[in-house]
Amino acid sequence: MNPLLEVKQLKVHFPVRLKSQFRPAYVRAVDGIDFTIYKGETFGLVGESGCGKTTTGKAIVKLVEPSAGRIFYDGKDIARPMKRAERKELARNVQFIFQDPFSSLDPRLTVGKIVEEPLIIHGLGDAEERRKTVAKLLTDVGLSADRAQSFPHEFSGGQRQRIGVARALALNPSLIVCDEPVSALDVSVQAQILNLMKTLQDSYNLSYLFISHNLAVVKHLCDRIAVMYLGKIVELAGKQSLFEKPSHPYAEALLAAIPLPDPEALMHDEPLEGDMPSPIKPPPGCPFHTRCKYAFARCRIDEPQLLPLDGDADHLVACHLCHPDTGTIHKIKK
Amino acid sequence: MTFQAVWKRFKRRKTSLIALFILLFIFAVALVGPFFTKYEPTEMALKNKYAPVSLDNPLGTDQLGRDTLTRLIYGSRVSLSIAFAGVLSGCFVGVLLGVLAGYFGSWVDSLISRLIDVLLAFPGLLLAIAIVAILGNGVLNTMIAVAIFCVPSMARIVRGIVISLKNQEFVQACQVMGASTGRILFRHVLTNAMSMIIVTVTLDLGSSILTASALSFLGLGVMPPNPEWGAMLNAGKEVMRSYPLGVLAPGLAITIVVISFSLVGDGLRDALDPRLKNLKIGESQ
Repeated sequence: MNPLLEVKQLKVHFPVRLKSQFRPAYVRAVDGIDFTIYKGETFGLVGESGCGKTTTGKAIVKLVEPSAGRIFYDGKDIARPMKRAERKELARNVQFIFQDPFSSLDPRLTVGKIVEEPLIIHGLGDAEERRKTVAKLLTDVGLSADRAQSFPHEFSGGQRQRIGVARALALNPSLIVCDEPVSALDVSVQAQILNLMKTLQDSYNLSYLFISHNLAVVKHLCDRIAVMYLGKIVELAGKQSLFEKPSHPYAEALLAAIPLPDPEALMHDEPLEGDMPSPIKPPPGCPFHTRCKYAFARCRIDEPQLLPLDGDADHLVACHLCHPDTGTIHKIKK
Repeated sequence: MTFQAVWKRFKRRKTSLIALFILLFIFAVALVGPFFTKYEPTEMALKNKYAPVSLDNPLGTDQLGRDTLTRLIYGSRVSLSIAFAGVLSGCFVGVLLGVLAGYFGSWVDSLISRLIDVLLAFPGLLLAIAIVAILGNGVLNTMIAVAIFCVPSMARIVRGIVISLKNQEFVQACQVMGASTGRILFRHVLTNAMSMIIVTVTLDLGSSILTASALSFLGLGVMPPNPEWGAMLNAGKEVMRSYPLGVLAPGLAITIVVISFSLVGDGLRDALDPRLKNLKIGESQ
């Protein structure tokens, strides 16, 4: 399989001014992550709020400036500053679906104009061709083409998200970064949008970077999944492999926290306690050791690397417990 | 949003509609009125001073025998043109500064915001007086004073709107599409700010007429014998007891125009907000 997007040691640090200090501190929103998205796959990025998953997505479409690292799209580095022509070139290949369908559509433009706008910016087709393209896009996302004259506020949340999808599709991109596209929607509507995205993936030959905190959604859609914690990827594996044997204690706790549809069932594990440490001053060693029930001395000093689990190059884990050759063999209870 | 849609919703609010008609009537009078007056605005008839209301002088004459209605009509030209020219140029500068400060942030914002703070630190009329004191009086300088008077409040309002708009996801969506900064600013940020800008301009027009009249009343703006409403008030106050219409007429004219601009501004604010589209007037209040 061909790599479509390669992210290498990406770091995004935001300066913040603390009252007690003269020097600006940095929020390490994304702190050195690596992953690759292959053509035609759906890559999931999960983690709790504030772990840096949205920032990663925004760095890929250049909505935030990376502090360090490289992002290669089709072999070309897109993390460096770009001229407008290059920026437009990137826009034709990589698009973004926003989380909030209410603020992502300009309230003063008709839906037709919103979907047409990327075509105008890139000078694709004349007015008549654009009108036809817009009609086709609206039909493809399950809206009727004669609603192009309506304004966004006349649509429901789910329909508005469909409009957002149509706009992202307008430039016929290869990769779409989806930033929690269904988290603002009702559960019944979530499924419709997810199924729409699956259908479109085939008809438009799309790859997705799917950002979510909802593991059930990720399980439904993704081929491979990366679990992020405090700006770092702690586990990266195929869907099957991750859900069968989550190996990082954080991934384990996340999966255990998925609610079961059976009201009689007991939670099989005690839930994760405490909050994520501040990304301004991340703890030394493993970022998760402050909440990890297996943490031992080494975790507090030595930061674990993302390494293959049991020699399986498709299942990477960053945990001292999982890499016997580099440390302790057995999980030690605190 | 189309003009028709805005008009349809504006019409629903009767007070604003009436205010709009009053304004249109006054504009029409200012425009064509001077062609129908019998007298010149500065034409004196000392034999006929303090004339009572009559067919020849519908509002009487002042202490120099000048026809008050004629002066009122000519005065509306001066007052309205000072207000329009001053407010439009002032608001243009204000919008420009506000957009630059709001969209680009960092040092541009700091610089412009401190400038606005300095201007806002002066009480409005005092600022206008200071400007006229520096530039000297006259119609053009009064316009400039009104313009500078409008800049800081408009700049601050627009800056606030732009800051809130640029963090909206639809602006980010444009950046992802590869839209140019100019396109984002003019097509998305400014159009969304436009309803607030129009409302502010309308309200500013009212307060500018008041400011310009106040300057002239204080003897700093338009100089006699030019017929300007504030200057007429100033001249009339000397003989208020013997000829009350000399202050009542320009005073009422100022009041009616200022109130009308306020009401039209309020009506526009409601009419231009698409989210209120399906609300009936009364529910939205």
